[in-house]
Amino acid sequence: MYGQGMSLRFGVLGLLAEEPLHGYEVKTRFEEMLGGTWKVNIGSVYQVLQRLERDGLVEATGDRGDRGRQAYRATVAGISGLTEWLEDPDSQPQLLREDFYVRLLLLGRQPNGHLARLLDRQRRVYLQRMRDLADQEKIARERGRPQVALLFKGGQLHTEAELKFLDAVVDEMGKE
Amino acid sequence: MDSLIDMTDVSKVFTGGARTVALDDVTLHIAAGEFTAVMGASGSGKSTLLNLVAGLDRATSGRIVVDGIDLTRANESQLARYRRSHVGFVFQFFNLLSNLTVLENVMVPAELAGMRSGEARARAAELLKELGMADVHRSYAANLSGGQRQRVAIARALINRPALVLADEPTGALDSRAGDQVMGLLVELNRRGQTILLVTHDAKLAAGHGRRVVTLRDGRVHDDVRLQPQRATEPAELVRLGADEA
Repeated sequence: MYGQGMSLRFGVLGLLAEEPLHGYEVKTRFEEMLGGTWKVNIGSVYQVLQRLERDGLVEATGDRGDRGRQAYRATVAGISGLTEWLEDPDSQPQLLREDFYVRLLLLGRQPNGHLARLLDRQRRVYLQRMRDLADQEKIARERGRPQVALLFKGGQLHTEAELKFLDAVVDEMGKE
Repeated sequence: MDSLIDMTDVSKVFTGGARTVALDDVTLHIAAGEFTAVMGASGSGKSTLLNLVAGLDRATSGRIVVDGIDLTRANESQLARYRRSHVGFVFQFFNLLSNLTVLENVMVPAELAGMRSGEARARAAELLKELGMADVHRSYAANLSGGQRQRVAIARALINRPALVLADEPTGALDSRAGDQVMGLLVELNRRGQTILLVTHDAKLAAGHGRRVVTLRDGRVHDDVRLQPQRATEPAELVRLGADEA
């Protein structure tokens, strides 16, 4: 059941477990928590709120405010569902960059050096990304957002893995 | 462009036992004021390159000129003088002398280069202060944390105002936080004009801090790229946590 979109569902639920919020507040707080790495459509937030309400995990609270905005809060069942999700380690399959991997597989069938060129260009993209991520990590730390800095640290470690993977592809090709 | 390091057609072949070509016809020019990272896996030739530029080993063929000194023609005593006065070394395992205080460790290269003791002491104290280590002058290196030891080693590397700082896996023995501080220090030194050549297997260090990344593979320069620092990027262009909306 923990597929795509589960983190938005439980992110919203987690914020509503802290205090009652209306839809737009949920959107801005969620984006703020993620340091700008996820822009959420307000429509998706309302859709998530509706489903959470349908499932009995959140409930409307208080009167509709000005402009008809409705605040929600987590129910007891919601808090217990949230706790369970938070404690469950992530065992989803590793998400790879499908676009690059499919290109790699197709070029690997061709004998004409396109693959080597792709690998070199891809490598430069990753090196520049590493620099950009390191800069963003520094900015997050300077702004007193160590948890957001961790997202960029995570990005650097993933980029490092991608670079190592490119080296592995080169080594493998060298054997042929 | 004013080169500080000129390597032209440099090869290094080791002949003890099996013949190994550690560096294969490498040409590389590094300008004064650059922060260059030389990156490669073990066996790529990066340590050999470092040893040649450091004047610790000699090329089999080709020419290496650093700060106007032709290392390929220098005799042993000229190389020793070059190492003392033109190069500051920062190693993975700090290489501090455990029976000396922090201040004395920093003074060692200055005294070897013939600086008067009083002057060396004053300069060492000034450097330690700049690197945020003023309060540990009299401590022994063994009593310091890894991050502190590396900062002492950086002060020692700088005491003779070297044209070039060579850093060989400088964060390899540090935890990630201390490593970040040490790299921040090297970046700051470079901002003030210090030429730095960093040798590492770690892409996070090389690309995260170097301005230019030279990748060695099988003894050759595989890639040489200049990175753009401080680009105005949106976080979501770099890390995407949700694929919710375009």
